[in-house]
Amino acid sequence: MKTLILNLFIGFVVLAAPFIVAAEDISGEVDLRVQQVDQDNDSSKFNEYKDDENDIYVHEIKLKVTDKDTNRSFDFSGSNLSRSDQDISLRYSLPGKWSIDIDWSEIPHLISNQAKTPYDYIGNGTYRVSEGIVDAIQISDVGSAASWTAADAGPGGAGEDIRINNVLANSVHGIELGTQREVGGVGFTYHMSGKTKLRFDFNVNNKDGSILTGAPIGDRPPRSMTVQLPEPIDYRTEDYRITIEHNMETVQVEASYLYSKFYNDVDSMTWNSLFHDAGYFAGGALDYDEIRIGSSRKYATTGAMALAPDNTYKNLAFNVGVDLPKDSRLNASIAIGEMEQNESLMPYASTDFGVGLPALPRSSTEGKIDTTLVSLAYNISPVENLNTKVFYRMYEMDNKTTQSEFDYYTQDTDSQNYRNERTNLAYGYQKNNYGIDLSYRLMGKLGTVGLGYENETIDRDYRETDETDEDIYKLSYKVRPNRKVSFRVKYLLAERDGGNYDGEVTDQSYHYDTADAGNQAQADNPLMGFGNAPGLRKFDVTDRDRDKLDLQLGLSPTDTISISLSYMNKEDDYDSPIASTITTWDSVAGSYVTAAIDPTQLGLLEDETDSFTVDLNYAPDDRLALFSFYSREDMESKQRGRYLNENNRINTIGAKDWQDTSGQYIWDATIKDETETIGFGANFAAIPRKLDLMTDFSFSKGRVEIGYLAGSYIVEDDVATTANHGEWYSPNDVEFKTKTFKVGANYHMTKKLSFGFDYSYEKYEVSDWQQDGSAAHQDAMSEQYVADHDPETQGTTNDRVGSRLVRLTDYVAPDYKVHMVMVSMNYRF
Amino acid sequence: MLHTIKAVILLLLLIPAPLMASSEYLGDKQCYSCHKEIKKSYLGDIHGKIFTKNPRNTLEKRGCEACHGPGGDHKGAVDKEEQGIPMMIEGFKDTDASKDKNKMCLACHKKGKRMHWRGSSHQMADLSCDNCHNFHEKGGAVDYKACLNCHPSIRGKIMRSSHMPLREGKMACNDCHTAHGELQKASVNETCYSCHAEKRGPFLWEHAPVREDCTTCHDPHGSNNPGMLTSKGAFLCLRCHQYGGHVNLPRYNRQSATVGQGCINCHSRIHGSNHPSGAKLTR
Repeated sequence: MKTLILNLFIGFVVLAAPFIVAAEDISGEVDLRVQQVDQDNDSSKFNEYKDDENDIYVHEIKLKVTDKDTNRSFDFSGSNLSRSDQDISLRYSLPGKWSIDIDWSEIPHLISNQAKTPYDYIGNGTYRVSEGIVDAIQISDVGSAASWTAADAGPGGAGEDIRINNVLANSVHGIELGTQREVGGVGFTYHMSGKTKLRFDFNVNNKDGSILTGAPIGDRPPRSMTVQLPEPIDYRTEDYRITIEHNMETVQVEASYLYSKFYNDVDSMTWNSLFHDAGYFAGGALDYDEIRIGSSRKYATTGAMALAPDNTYKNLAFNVGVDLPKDSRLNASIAIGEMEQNESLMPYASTDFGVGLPALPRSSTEGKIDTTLVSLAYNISPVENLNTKVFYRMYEMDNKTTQSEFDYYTQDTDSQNYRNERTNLAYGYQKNNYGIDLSYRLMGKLGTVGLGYENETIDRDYRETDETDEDIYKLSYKVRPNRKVSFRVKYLLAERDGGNYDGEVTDQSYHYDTADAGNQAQADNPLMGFGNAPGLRKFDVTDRDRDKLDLQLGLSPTDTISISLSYMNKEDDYDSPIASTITTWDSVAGSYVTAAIDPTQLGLLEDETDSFTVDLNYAPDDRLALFSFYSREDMESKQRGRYLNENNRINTIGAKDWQDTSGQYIWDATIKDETETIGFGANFAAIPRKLDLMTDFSFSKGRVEIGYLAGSYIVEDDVATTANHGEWYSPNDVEFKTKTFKVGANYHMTKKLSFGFDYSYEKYEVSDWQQDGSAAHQDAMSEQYVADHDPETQGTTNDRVGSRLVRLTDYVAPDYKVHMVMVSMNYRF
Repeated sequence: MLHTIKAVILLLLLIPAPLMASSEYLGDKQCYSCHKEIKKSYLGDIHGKIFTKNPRNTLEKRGCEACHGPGGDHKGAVDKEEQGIPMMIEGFKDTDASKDKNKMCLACHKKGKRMHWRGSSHQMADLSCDNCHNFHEKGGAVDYKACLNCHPSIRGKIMRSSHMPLREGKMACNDCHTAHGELQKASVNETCYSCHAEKRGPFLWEHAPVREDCTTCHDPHGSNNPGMLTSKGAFLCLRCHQYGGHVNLPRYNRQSATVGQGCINCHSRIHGSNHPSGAKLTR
């Protein structure tokens, strides 16, 4: 596609060449740059979305050609030509009659150049780790279940981590994580008459590369072996849109049709297990998986995962605006859309485990969603200075995907030792908004007052609340009494009613046939426990009170100084009533029963944001301009969780974890997220119209602080060792710091020719416990340690060690310092 | 005496000006004679090209005066600006007259993307077109810095470590937002799908809040968390998922938080799975 677009460019230039040569009015500019980059640490973060390297390139080019007789125009512009972040656009037009547009843009997204993996990509979504590495992992396992200790699990301990890490350290090789996006388009506009316009657009969006993903094999923690892998990306989206407008004096109509097709050239990803080699030990000996995870469950040696499926989207939209009597106007939009996806389904697992896999209930997704939008808005100024809007908006996403019962296989594991099925639920919703907004301009310079009311209801399928109903009240005031002062305040108050919350709604996805199971009290029977913690309220569908205040003040005390101040506060409070009993299905009794629960609310409780900004500009004369800004945003959220022992799922009614009101099972976390940005700079015409100097500096700091407090039942005594695997604690703060300093000079040798010199310095620092891995390339999630130190299982032997994670890297994008020098030449013609 | 004569002559010139008022269109050449600095950019932009070469109606034929109104009165009053006498022409300078100013623009531009300008949040906030657009520049393009003048709290977000390529110049606010009134995208998700069609589905196994609203978990303006998430890995998930299958403690994810992935190290198909064994979004 890139070739096609470039050929179109060339073809256009060739076709337009005679016109360009003959044209009398040609203007444009070329900006050439030479740059030298000195980076101390080859971090991907510096070039995350750009392509700055030692280079000579065309930074900017513009060409504008107009035929004075016919007024035909040819406009060409490009930036960063030949780099992987280049932009090119071309327009050939007769303004007011027709135009042809071609655009091309490339956007890199470099995620990491530090990643390493023992896997090789052999194409078509397949990763392979060599048999020799797998064998070495097996040999490294000289321990046995009985000998496994907490010390073995600990990073830096003498146990298995070191042995496996040694194998991996000698096996990994570097890979690059990132994507390259190419966005191109061709558009043709034709003004059929002064009133009617037709436009056709074709756009293509290619995305290639790889992103980080996790790939587990094993039925579930603590029996899952996960490797991080680069997920292959080979996407292409093609959009075809036709739009027709008809515009009359009082009525404007637009109709458009969009057909969008998404292709993924890699349908699935497969990889072989590092830990499992069924054929490694001859004579019935067990391999690593079988020792560590147990032989009762059968695992595939290869994992397989479905990637993003091909899909289509169609949309037909009508928009109309009608001027009506009494200076009023009606705006309306109606749009219907259809999303379809019917990719062939993969088998339940990559192997049949010797017993054969059951047939799928259907062979393809049969996914379909219909969307409908109806929007009406009526505006009128019934009296002088009063602007009124009443509106109604409905958006529906009607999910018509076929629903079936699928056998419950998990990550390429034979978990079919009892009858357990899942139904794919076709989530959908309908959102309705209506309301009124009033805006009244007061007499003289007293300003403008705004009032508004809006109601929003969302009906959802298969969610914890059937409907949320929110009332939103808005108040605003804006005044500019003179040219020196402006002030604006906005206040919003909203109350969302989540209605009756049903935390057991996830049971709708479960099917568990007790007749097939043979043992109704199976621990894995999902109906034996709550679908979610009874006290949990999901924040997107539960009650919410929202306050939002927005203030802005602009001051210009003199013609040379301007000051702008703003403050914003937003508070969301999710306080919801929790009943002390819940009605739930008791599979043992075969009936609904009432169970007592602790009515402590869990989940997100509060979320608050404070934002403050100040801008100061000073321009004493035409030669000097100084500017500075400061912004600070503080976000604080509070959430709560509850320790649950999964084994208590067997006995819902008697599960003390649910019922205890002492707080010993509760943990609370307060997450503070702060961002500060400060900047200042100057532009100075050292020699007017000859020499311009400029400089700026900015510093940005982001910090995330998590305060974690757990109840007495959860807290471990042995803090030193729990820091590694078991008990959690308040982690170190996460910090990001970015400093940039730039200084530049631009010398205008003539009116047409100028030279520039720029120097920039950039420093990026990151400190993040999430990225700071404690071992070279893999960690044991060490369920064993959790089991040994769990108050309920302490002292028992648990051979379900499992849950290893082989990761790609520690810091995806580490610190860096960059010095960059740039010399440029600009020629205007 | 000489001053008196000059004043009388000037007065005599001013008297007929209001009488000529709206009927006195002078033509572009008269405007160029004083506004030389505007001429080149005006003739190079879409307005100048259409008005001077391919006018489609009477209004467009008036050139500069199509937007600024008749220049007859202005020509007479121009020398008096410093004395506080009105310029007698629409100069798009008085920020309190947005409705009047916008009328000029909407005479032609209440179609297409501006069709629903009236009633939009910007119109209700009393903004005028020239608050964002410079009409004499090509396309009157608006970059994100112009938006930050009224939306300053976004600047700090854009500067965060995890961000869209806005400050790198590869995106603009209007890639997602419709500043002229809602017209294009029907929902938040349909906006996101226009670049992220791989998440469009529909999937066999949906993640309900993902299907409804991407901003439930992501802050597209920027975040201090990986992937522009609104909170750190395991904590974000634990806001909605606490059941017996996991022990619901962030400790469980201490190690699996590596590279900021948290729970999605295993539940990697968090945006939806198309595998028959993907009920838990791990396939």
